[in-house]
Amino acid sequence: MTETNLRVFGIDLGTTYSAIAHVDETGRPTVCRNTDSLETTPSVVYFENESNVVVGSVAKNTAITHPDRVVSLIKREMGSAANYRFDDVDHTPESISALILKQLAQDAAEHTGSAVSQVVITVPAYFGMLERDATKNAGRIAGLDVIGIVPEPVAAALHYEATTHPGERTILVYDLGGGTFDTTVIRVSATEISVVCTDGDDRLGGADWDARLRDHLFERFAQQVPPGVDLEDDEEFLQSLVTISEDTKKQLSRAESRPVALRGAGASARIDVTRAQFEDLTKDLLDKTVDIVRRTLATLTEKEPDTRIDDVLLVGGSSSMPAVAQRLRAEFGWEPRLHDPHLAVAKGAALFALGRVVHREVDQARAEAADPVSADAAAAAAVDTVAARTGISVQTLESLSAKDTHNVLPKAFGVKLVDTSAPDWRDKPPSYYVEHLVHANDRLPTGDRTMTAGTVRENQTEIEIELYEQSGVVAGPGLEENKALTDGAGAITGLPRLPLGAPVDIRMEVDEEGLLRLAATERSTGKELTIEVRVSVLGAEQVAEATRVISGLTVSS
Amino acid sequence: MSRFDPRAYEDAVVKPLRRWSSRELPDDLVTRYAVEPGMTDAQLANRLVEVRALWNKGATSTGKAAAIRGIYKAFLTADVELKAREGADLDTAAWWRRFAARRASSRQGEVDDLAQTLRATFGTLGLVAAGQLEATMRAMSASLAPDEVDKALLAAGIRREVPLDLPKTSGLQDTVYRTLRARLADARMGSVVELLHGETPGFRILRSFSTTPPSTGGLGLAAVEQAIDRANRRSGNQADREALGILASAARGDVDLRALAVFHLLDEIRQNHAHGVPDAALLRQLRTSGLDDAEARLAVFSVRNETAVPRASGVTGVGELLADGKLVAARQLMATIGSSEDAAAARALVDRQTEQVVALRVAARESLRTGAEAEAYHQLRQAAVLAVDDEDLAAELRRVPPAPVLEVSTAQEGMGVRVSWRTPADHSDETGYRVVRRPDRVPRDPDDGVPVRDGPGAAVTVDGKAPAGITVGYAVFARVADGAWSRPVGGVIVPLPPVQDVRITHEGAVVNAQWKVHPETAEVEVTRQSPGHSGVPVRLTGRTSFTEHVVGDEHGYSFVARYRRSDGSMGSSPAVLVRSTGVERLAPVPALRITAVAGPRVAITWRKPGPAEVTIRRATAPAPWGFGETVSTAALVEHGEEVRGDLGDDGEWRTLTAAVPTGLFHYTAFTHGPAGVLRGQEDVFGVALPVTAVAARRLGDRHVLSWTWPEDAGTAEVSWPGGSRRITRAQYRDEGGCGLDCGSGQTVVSVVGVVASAGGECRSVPVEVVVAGRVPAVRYTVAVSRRLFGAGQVRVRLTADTPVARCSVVLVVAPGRVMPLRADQGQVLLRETRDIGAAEPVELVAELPRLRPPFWVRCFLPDGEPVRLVDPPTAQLKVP
Repeated sequence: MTETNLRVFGIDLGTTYSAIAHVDETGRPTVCRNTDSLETTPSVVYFENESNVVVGSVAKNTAITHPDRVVSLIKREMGSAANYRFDDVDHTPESISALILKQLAQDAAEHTGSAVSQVVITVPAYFGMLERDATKNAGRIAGLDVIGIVPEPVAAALHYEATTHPGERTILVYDLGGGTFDTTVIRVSATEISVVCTDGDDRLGGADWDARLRDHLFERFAQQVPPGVDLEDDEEFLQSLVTISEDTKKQLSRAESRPVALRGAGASARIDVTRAQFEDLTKDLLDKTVDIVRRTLATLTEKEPDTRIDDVLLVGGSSSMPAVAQRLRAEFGWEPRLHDPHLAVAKGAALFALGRVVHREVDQARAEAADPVSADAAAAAAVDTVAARTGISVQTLESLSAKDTHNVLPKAFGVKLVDTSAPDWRDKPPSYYVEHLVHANDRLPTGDRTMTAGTVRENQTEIEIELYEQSGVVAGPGLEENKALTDGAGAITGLPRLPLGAPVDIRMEVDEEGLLRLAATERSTGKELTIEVRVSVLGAEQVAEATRVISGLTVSS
Repeated sequence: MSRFDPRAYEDAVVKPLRRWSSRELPDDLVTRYAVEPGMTDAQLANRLVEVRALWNKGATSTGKAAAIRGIYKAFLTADVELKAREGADLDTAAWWRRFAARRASSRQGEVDDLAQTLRATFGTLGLVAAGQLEATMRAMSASLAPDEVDKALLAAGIRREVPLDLPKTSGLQDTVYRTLRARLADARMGSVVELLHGETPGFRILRSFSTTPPSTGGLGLAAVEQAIDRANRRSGNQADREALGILASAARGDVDLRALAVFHLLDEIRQNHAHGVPDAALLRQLRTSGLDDAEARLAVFSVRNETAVPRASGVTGVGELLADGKLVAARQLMATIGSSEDAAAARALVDRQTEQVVALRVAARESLRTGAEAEAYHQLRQAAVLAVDDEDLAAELRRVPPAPVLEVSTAQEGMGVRVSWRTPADHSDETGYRVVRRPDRVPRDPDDGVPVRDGPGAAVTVDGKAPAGITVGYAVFARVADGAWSRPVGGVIVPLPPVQDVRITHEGAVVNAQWKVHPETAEVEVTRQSPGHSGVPVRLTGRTSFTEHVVGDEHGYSFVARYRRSDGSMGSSPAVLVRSTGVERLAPVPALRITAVAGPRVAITWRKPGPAEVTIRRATAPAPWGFGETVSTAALVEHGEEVRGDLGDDGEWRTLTAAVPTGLFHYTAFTHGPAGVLRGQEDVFGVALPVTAVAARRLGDRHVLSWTWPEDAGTAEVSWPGGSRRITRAQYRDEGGCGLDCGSGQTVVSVVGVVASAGGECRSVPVEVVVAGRVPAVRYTVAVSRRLFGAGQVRVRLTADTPVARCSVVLVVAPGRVMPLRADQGQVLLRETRDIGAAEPVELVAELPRLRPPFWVRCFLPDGEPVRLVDPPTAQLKVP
């Protein structure tokens, strides 16, 4: 460690809004304000020209006049191969997210006077491996040292525990953000934060509530426009409707009804919207979140039948809609707490980041020590050094780093097998299914999971292994219910002619960081195939190229 | 032969002819006369009697409609003509057999025509409604028997059918339905059925839902939940999942998913039909969705036969009215819906909204009962949004009082009582407040006392007329517009206002004091605290003043007002403490000195008359009071304006420097004291703008000054040591400046701009310029002597008209024809510094080097030498 001031940051990279925080000298997480003196920055990017990009509220407002040069909700595309071209330069969801991260880092550097380097970035609990790796790549492309990826509910629970000291409790985090919805049951104690189970929908968020209200306002306004006038030709009106809908939704959290003034295609009208109407329009969306909560509780019951929920935290800006708390109260009898819904995730990420740094330094000090006795001293010295460099007390650092964080696997993984259940399977074209060895909500690291498969033909000389990941929010065996992992296939070849049913031992493990290892061994010959998958959409060269492009862009707010 | 049934005959033969528009009756005599094949003559004769008897009865029956009677009459008329034409043959079976055969062969053409027409018009769907068939036959003047019509239908491949009354509303809120429709399109699903059960060709749904093979769950919540479970196992199907979410919520809300699915299927069909899309295209569209072919035909057939209803009627209209919150209007419209199915659907919508309104009203009344007015208001507001046209509800809403204010506090303020409160968050700016006062207790209602304030505004008021000495209660009531008043919130106070506006003066040994008291003050007690004495009662003059003689410079006074309480005891106000400090008698300022300084500003100086404040006022007229006269403050402010600027003290002298306008003004000093203001010295002074850009030019012993005149100045006063002059603008112009004779030496000349004004002159600040002294002149002569061998000699003789000390001279020789103009253009022979007396020439000698003529010998002065060197004639300088 060099002798410079140390400051690490936690970033909530949200679908609609993002925030960055650090832990100040008093040990409290503090959000860095942007150049507008606001604590959250819209996750909107405006490609002004080939060398300048604008991120934040200016970009959001520019969407009204230049909608074809503005990108929003990019988090929903993370993990996909979507492509966006501006000024003959291709951008991926990772590189666009990197621009947002770059702006956050700049604002934080100006706010704190410290350069931003080491960061932890949060992801929805329900993000799969692909999406998590994409997020990490986005950080790298932005020139940041991503020291960890932490699920948003875990960050929120960490902040809750740090600010309320609740003792050992089981908390259900209901995280309704701008673009994603997670429910996670987390057990919190003085020494541990463990995810028990998680569920969600990575395409359900406040933006969908906005869209319903927007459609409703559009239809009501369309009735005021003379026939022959096509409102859908007025792009500026459509874009302004996006902003108006979001603002009206927020206002309806505080007021029972709001008048909305609209102007477009030469007409102007005032449309009254009540909270009751809005809740009616979006009832099915809220119903869906309740269904997911029920599914989470069912998973909890299956995993830990005697566990009860002690607290319910509402996280994410959209969870502050009154209907959310009312519905949870009515359905489950809970009294949910709105715990700093907009900033809890960023603050928790900052705490996690600092704990991570202390862990790393202590682990390194211990590893380099000659013996256990000097290891303890070295560890203590490492904590002292971090305290000196951060200005945070040793006690606070020890308390932060004392917590172990345990996550769960969000999706199931398995191997493709031939379906031999039908008596006449040999007479039909082969039918396949996926046998899952590790399942959603299995605690990480999973440890070894094993199964034994067999050859399906006489004289089989080759065994193909293909890895699959659960596609949807619920696991299923059908091939259409799973997606093949790229670089997740291999074959054991050069085998002697094997009889039908010759055993093949398969062992699978997923570690804490999400690295999946599979080993398949043909028992008679001992020939083994090993596959390690850390899934990613972008290859290393693509990441390097994107880093070069992004570093050449001026990002402003 | 079958028995003749008159009633059946009328239904089958007579009534179908009610809308017959042709002049001629159908020529189907066999049907008209009810003749059956195989009848004998006797049976025929009997039948003809029965039929004619029925015609006669029908033609005259008062129990039959006019149209029916008309047909019987037409039958009778035609019978007479037939009998006349055919005679007795009409009564023979043979005649009737021949007639039937003849007719059969001639009818085929008409049947074929009708079949062709039906095929062309209705062939696509293969269905025709009864009304459509009758209208077609009427238009073609076809007079076919029913069995002939059947033949035509069969030949055309058309079937009679009754159009179904299909759902005209989705059962969902418009925006939600449109979202469902958009998501189905995004998911590339042709129908709700496909979303729930996958591709299901040949499903039936118009009357009930069925598929082949049968699907599980039908179109209910179970099927939706199964579909959700399947969708949750996949990714990239967001549109499917959102559509399923809407269906799940709808199913839980008791929406008929079959009707919703039919409505969705027919939504676009109806729109396309309205745009004139042909049936074949509509049919193809429905077949593509998987609908059974016969159901698709029936669906298009039914849509075609739907009467165009105005948008705002029926179930759709009821739905729109309810969406706009017009519950009463929706109820009224519901009553006009004829179709029982639609009426039931509309009633369900109306009832649901009515139940919501009722529930809210009940909840509001309970809230009112428990004192939660804000909650009650919100609940009734929500109900009013659902029933904006319900006058009773609106009146009930108006009767809900606002929530009472919070934390009323009362405190003494001056002579009155300050009443303040906190407003609840739900009070708007239009909320008005009435503050009521009454003695002894808090008022219970808005009329239970004296209103102190009434109306919207800040949450505070001061009751300036509050009684003193007794218990006074205040209550604050709130209401919006003319609505009901809130419950009171109040407090009590016993006002004991202290004396106000105490003014005390202490001059010499006399202290005067005056103050104000509350009208209900019973008495005032004043005590004096002096060094060595405390609590000395002061004798008052009435309740509001005293004058006493004191010793010493400083005293403190305590003023306490007393009030009689309702129980007869006395209450005391808080004491008001005032100090008096003895001051000397005021003295007027005896003298002022006013000078102009750069600005234009003036500097006014006076001697300070003690500690009292002195102000200077500037006016265009003299002060109307005499020196030393006391002036009231009110009168003083009417005289000119106070001169404000920078104050500087120099011992007992004070100078005020201030910017003032140009022109002549009266400046008067005033000394301020507690008893009034004393007029002091007054002076008149005028400030003018100075001249600018002053420059001087020397012409021998004379100088000429020039400057830029300020706008108003007509005269300038120029002065210098030993002299001065005044010059007008005209003189200045004539002389080309201002000429002065101020000697040869350096001197400072001052110019003052002067503006004449009634009452005196205004003078500017002087502008000075340094005029340089005359420069002394030094003359010289040159004598050159050359030798044939050896160096020659130059002799320079210097003379000055005035003594010149330390004059430096440089002697230079320069070869060539051109006279050197500078010392560096030649060779320096000598440099010398000498004092040159007025009549004492100085001689300088230098060795002359051998030079080939022509050459020059000349003297120069170093730069900056304050002397003028006069050259001799050129001939002396040049050696040719």
